[in-house]
Amino acid sequence: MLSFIIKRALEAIPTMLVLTFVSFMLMYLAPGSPFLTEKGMPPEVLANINAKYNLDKPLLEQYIIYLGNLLQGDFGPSFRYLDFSINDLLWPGLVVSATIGMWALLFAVISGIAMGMMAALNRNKTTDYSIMTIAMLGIVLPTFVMAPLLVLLFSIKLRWLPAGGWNDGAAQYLVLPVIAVTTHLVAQIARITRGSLIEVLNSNFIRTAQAKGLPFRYIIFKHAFKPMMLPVVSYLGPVFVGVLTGSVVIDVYFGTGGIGQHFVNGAINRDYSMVMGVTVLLGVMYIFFNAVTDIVYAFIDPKIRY
Amino acid sequence: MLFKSRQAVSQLAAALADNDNAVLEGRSLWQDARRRFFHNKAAVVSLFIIGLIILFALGGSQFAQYSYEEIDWLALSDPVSLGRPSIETGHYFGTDKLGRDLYARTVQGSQISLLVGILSSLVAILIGTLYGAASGFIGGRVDSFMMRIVEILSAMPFMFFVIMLMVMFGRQIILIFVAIGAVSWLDMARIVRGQTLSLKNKEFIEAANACGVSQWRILVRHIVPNVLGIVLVYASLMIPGMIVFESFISFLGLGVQEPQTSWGALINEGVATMEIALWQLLFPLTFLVVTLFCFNFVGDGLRDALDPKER
Amino acid sequence: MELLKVSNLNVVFDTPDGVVTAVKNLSFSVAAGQTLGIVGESGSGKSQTAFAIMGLLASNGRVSGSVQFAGQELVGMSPQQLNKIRAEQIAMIFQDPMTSLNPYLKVGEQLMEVLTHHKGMDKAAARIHSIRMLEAVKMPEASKRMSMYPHEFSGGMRQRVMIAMALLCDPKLLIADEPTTALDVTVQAQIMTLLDELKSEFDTAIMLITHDLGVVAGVCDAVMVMYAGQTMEYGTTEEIFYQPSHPYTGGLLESVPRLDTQSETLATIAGNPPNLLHLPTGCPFQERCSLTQAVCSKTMPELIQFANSRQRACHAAIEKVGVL
Repeated sequence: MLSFIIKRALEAIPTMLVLTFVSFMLMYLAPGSPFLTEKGMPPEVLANINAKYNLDKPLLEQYIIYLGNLLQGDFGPSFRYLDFSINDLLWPGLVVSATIGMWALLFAVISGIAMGMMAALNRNKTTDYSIMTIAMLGIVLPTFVMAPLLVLLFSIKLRWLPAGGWNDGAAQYLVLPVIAVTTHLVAQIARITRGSLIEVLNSNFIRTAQAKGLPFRYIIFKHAFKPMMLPVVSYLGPVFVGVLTGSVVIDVYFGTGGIGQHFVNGAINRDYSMVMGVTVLLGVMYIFFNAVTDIVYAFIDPKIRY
Repeated sequence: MLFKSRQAVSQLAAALADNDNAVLEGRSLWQDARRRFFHNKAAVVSLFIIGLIILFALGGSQFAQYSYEEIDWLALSDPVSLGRPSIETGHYFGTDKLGRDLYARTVQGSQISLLVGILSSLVAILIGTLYGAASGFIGGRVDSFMMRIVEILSAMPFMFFVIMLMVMFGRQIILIFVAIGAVSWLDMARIVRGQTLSLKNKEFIEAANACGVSQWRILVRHIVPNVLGIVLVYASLMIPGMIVFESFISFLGLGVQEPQTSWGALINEGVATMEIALWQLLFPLTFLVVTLFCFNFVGDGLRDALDPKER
Repeated sequence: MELLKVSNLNVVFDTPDGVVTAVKNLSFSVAAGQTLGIVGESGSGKSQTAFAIMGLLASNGRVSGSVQFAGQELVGMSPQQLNKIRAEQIAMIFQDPMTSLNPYLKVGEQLMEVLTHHKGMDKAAARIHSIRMLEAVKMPEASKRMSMYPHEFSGGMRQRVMIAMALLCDPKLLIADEPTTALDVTVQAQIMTLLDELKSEFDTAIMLITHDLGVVAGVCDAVMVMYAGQTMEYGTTEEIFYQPSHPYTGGLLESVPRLDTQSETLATIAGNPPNLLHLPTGCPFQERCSLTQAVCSKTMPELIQFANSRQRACHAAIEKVGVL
């Protein structure tokens, strides 16, 4: 097991190198220097930043210095907000995004699996059809449609909840963003769970368990649950990062101050170091959690050799 | 020998056709799939509606009273009452907040959205299928190297790369195609490779190999037709994904350039004014949502038709 | 004493293409300690008969008729009551040991859960008993194997686990559905020998479902030959093998390859089993039969009893059938 984990970790290294290099090159190739195009920037500030970013050094050296800083968890200074480093801006944003994401994920996993199992166990009955219709809605409606519709209903018409803002994560500010993020997840998980459970219930070993005279509920939870979860886990792996780091639409639309908002603002303001910082941070997290998924998978499925 | 057995097969088929037991007759996979697909009402209706929407995008401008960039100053003077949807003013869908005819803009937006959805899916499917089939078919070291590349690429946060590109190199529709298409071929490649690998070990491929059929012919005659089903299903689910992605970028205000528009851009504008002029949100939203639903139903229908084991 | 009495059993499946009749008017019985072989081609309804007895039919399947086990009616029994019968009274071994064990649970757990549920044993007692049972099916290093997963076992070993699992509660009837089909020939023989030994050791009746006449000859007391969901012929193993009274049985016996006769080709029964969606009127075997008469396509021959306990359903005279 340990060697499997180490192997999986080593595999992630070239991926991370490519990720950082591509981001770095994109930033390097971006038309016009972000500093030179800024009008009225005092030369001393420019020199200051140039020195800070080692922009006078050859490309490869710049990249290596950048990598070195990254390894120490330093994303460098912001090009836009000169008094701030990317870290200062990014970490609070990550906390916001992760808070929304964790709630959404928690809700999605619990209710998605429950709904999927209910649908599978009442297959082709009314319960199944109604759950799957709701799931279809959740899958088809994109977040940027969900969010305005939720605001229209709960904030504008009913006036129950605030239409945006964060307010240090007070509960009523959390509800709409969490719902907007979670709907799609619930729907996906429900659908995957349903399909998976139906397939598992058709397998020979479930028939064996039934022939052994075991109670149905026991068969579901002891025999069917684990194999049922395999597709759900492999779905959740990559999704996990996406949810944890927040949804760009949610952050922008609700103005929560999450990572996505920083990213889009950074993109619009040509704050390349911010954009790159977000890209690298998310890429690294994505790679990391993919490896974690593989390892979790290996724990569930005894057939995978480590 | 081959001729003889073919004769025997056709005799058998004829005998079976005479017989009442016509059900025993081997129906081809595609015939069977078509029958199942057309039995699925939701899928057929959806296909029809998609056809209507495409017609709307192509020919809808014939019925428009205004062009999509023309500003109706009268409607602009009081957008909430004079900009309302009405037959008399010729603004069937009302006007947007700049007094432009929303019907004409929706037609134009539909063109862009559908074009992006279909073209970028085509790009992705073409690259993905070729890459995946080649990787799986060649196998060995080449295969593991090619798949390693896919793996590395799929770890990239491409949505962010795309946005970065849009910001750095300007908002060009062609860039959206290329960027989205180039990002999305990865899954396709993986699926096709898996399919090719499992096909390669099937008896009928081994038989073809043993008979000395050339590799190219095996690829074209046996592998590609058998992979086609899954490609089709995936394509039908990919197009709505692409439409959503373009809409998403446009929603962030980073997509198509004014005065051109797309469903996402229209929704973005509609959201800003939904408190006073709800129609500005609802018309483009309806088009987007209906299209997404229809593509989903068609995709589900195709999947069930081609892979009946689920039911 | 009749342990299991099946009368007028019908199994039909609702499919998108129509109603499929898998088992039609089937009646037979198994006495305590007896081994009954049920023989037929794939699709002849053997397995569905077993599933109907156990209440394990797919959800689109419907049963009618009667299955009496030790005086209790199993058809229409509630799942809770049925769960008391399963494993405790009737146990079942399946065709494919590769997929019939849960790949995600240790073998020990899968054995022990039977005992904890049916016998109310605690884990320690269940463990001891399970190991003992694994030893009874000649599993080497039984206690070590308890904590292994099914994929770490060979096919034959998995089938031994299945057999051990089936016998844990001393069932009175063991239904073995093609227990050796998925195994190598050498392993097949080992498993059949094992079943034969266990039969006397545990005093269990066995209903052995197979398409392999060689397997039947070795262990069965009586044989029922099925075709298209119906009984074609029934008799003791000797009677069936030496004096088949039905052309289908004759055909089956002829298609067993033999070393003692010189023959160029392998005998087969021409044609295919009938489509169960549209069974022909009359005898289902008429199209492939060498003794077809006009009457065969009009009425289904009745299953008649003759020579004590033998049964046959054929219009042709017995003398004509004497194939061997």
